[in-house]
Amino acid sequence: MQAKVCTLVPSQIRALRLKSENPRQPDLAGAAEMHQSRISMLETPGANPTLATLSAIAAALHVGLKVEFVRMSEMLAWENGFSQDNFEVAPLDSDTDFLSPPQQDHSAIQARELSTSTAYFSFGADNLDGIVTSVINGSTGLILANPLAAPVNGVKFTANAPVSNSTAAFPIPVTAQSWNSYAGPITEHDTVASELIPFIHEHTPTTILERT
Amino acid sequence: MVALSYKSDIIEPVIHWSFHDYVEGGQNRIENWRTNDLSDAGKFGFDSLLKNTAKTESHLEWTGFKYLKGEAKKERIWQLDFLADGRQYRGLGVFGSLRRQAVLLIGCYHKGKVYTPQNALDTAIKRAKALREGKAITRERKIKFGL
Repeated sequence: MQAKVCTLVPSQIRALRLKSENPRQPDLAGAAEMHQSRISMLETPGANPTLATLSAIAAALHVGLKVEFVRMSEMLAWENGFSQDNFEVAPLDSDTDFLSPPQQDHSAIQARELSTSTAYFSFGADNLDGIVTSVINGSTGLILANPLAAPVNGVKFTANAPVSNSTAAFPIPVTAQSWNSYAGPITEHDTVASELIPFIHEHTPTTILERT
Repeated sequence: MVALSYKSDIIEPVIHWSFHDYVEGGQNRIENWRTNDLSDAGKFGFDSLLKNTAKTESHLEWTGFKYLKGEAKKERIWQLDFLADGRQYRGLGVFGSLRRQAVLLIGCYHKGKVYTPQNALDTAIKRAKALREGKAITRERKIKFGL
């Protein structure tokens, strides 16, 4: 394993340097505040630099550094697929995702903003149970959820008060948990029974999220 | 370019180069060196190096690559460096007559200006000449790709 990592890391450094605006070893050495001989050593297969050294090289090249443990098969696939010729990392000044972050899904943002709030909604429990898993109210910050439903997309809604089928009507305080594990849009529209949607609209100015 | 088969879920790398071992007296000198003189870490390092190098199109961009100077320069001998076990190993080689064919002449390690084996450079020059004059043969080294 060490041989693979210690072969491909120097290869990556070499590829990034050669494709940078200052492709000479002395230039990278100056930017990283190292001697040129150190850069040469770091580009030699089998070199075993510390994470601090790699971080310094990444900073000098204006790129990020990611170190993570993965399945062995994933590492082997990485080794097989790696090509120094094709290895490119956009430096900071041309990293468009960093300079202009893409717009996140609106509903997801709303959901995140709502995640710490407690919402109240009066509703017939018999209608709700088993039908609605989650509805986000985009305008007022209400979350309507069926606490009895299974978690969807890693999001678990939990009622702060006991809920049962026999509950005729309730304001149920519900909170959303585990938002951090869910970055995508809320896509539960099709789990909402069609006859229920007018009812929801009648009681709150809810925007029902469409499935995307 | 060598065609290889892979599991379908593995990205197929493009293999630009083939590596060949110098064979003398029926003995594969490179494989003998790999087997007898390298530790397990050295073997893995050597194998990984060739695997990665074979996928890099321009030899000038190979990691650890450098043309030798002095007498060896006349034979266009180059070195491919790698580190293992705290030693600086070198594979000395030349480019073969076929397109994108690299021939490894000898493996050695060095500290300062001292090579082990001591006559590594002279041997490499002698073998390069023998190759150039068609007096020596090579054997393609099998490089394992895929899982």
